[in-house]
Amino acid sequence: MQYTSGRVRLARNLKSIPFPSRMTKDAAQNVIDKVWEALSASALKDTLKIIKSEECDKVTLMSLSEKHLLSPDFLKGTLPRAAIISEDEKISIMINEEDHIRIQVFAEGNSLDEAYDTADKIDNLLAEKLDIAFHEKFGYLTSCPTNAGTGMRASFMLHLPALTMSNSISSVLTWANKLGLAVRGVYGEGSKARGAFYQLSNQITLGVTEKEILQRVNLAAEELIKKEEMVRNTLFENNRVKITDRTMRAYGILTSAYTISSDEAFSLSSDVLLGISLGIIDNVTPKKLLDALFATMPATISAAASLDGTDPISRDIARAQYFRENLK
Amino acid sequence: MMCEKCGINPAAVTLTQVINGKKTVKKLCVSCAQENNIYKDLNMDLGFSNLFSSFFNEGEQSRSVDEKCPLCEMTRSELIKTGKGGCALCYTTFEAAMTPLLKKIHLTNTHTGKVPGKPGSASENKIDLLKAQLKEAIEKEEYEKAARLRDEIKEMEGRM
Repeated sequence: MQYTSGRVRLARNLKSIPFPSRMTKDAAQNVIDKVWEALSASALKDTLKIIKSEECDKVTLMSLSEKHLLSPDFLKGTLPRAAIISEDEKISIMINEEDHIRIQVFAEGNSLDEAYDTADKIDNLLAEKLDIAFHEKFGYLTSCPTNAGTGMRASFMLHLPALTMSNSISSVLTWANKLGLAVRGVYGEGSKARGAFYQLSNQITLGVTEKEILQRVNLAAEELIKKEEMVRNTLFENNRVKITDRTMRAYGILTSAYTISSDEAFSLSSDVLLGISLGIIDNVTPKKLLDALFATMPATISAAASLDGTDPISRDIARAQYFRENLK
Repeated sequence: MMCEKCGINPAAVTLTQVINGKKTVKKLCVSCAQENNIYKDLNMDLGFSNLFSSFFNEGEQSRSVDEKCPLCEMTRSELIKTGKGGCALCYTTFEAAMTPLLKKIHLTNTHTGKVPGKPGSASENKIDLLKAQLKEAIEKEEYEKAARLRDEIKEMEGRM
């Protein structure tokens, strides 16, 4: 089974400018200009575009946040912020979110190593041109001390329906905690799990090397997937009719309903994904399903269907239409 | 197992809460859990902005002079209240407060990872530095110092 997606994030700050929580608008603008200038001088330039919070409408920003290219916090407050995003949407560099610079690189497949290498290269490019805040003992200095040291967060989004159904998630949390890792809802900190999608990430960022963080998160994800598959097979053997019915029913609703809410889309997609992995449903691929799920998130579908984004009913109709047209 | 709150219904939900570093685990039935509002987003109104207050050493909390960071003008008492520095210089200005705080969060307060502008991790670079010092100590016939450095290198290499 493939993991749904992975991400590596590095938090960096500039030495002589207060963190975003205490900086002036002018200073914020200055940081945006400096970072963009540093990247414009690099070979990466042609693949990157800059999106400034002050020049961008809310629906577009929300849609980027639904794709995880921006964090929910990026959309709050009045400080000038910007995001430098690559054409393929694999790289997103947030400026003036909680820290001056947050380099995010998304990973495909079951390893975060390649994503880290890319993030590391961007970090080196920036360090060549900018005065990055670094302390001999504490490492990279971040607004929140929970990110100090490496400033690195490595995470996987995992789909764990069987562990959820069998009420095993609390023991997963305990297990992850002991390893210095965290398991959260799909929208990261402070959000609840939707449709059995979870985010696994490292908690500790100081006193461990980047390599150790990668190894730990890669291994833990592998282990969780193994446990999920084990429980999944046992559950299926013991409840063949029930689970077959549940997943086929979900597929039926997802591909024929007239309105579908965002929460419902998540839980139906979760069940269909389970059906695919058990060989019950074979006329849709996991990638196609997940692409549809993310293409129909509230702001993204509103933007695509030219809706004003405030009317949930027309959004739910557009979402259902998208699933009918793309999954059948 | 029965619900730890009402003792009437069987327990169906495990409620694990970590507040200011203290972990409690309760097994509850569904109705007590709902009453406890655990299905609601707990992130609000629990004073999480003060989460780190209890992480500072007591001495830090009761200092009489409220120092100020020369760059961002954050005061020591603000730092203790929010648990966050206002700029990179706060980590140096309030190093005495930051050192135990970082240790409580990460279980250590010494960075071993990447160093800007240098290939390899901080611990690899540190070992190189110690090896150079060891060589120098041997050349100067400072054997006591050399022995100490040798032990330190051994320990660091063992950890990698």
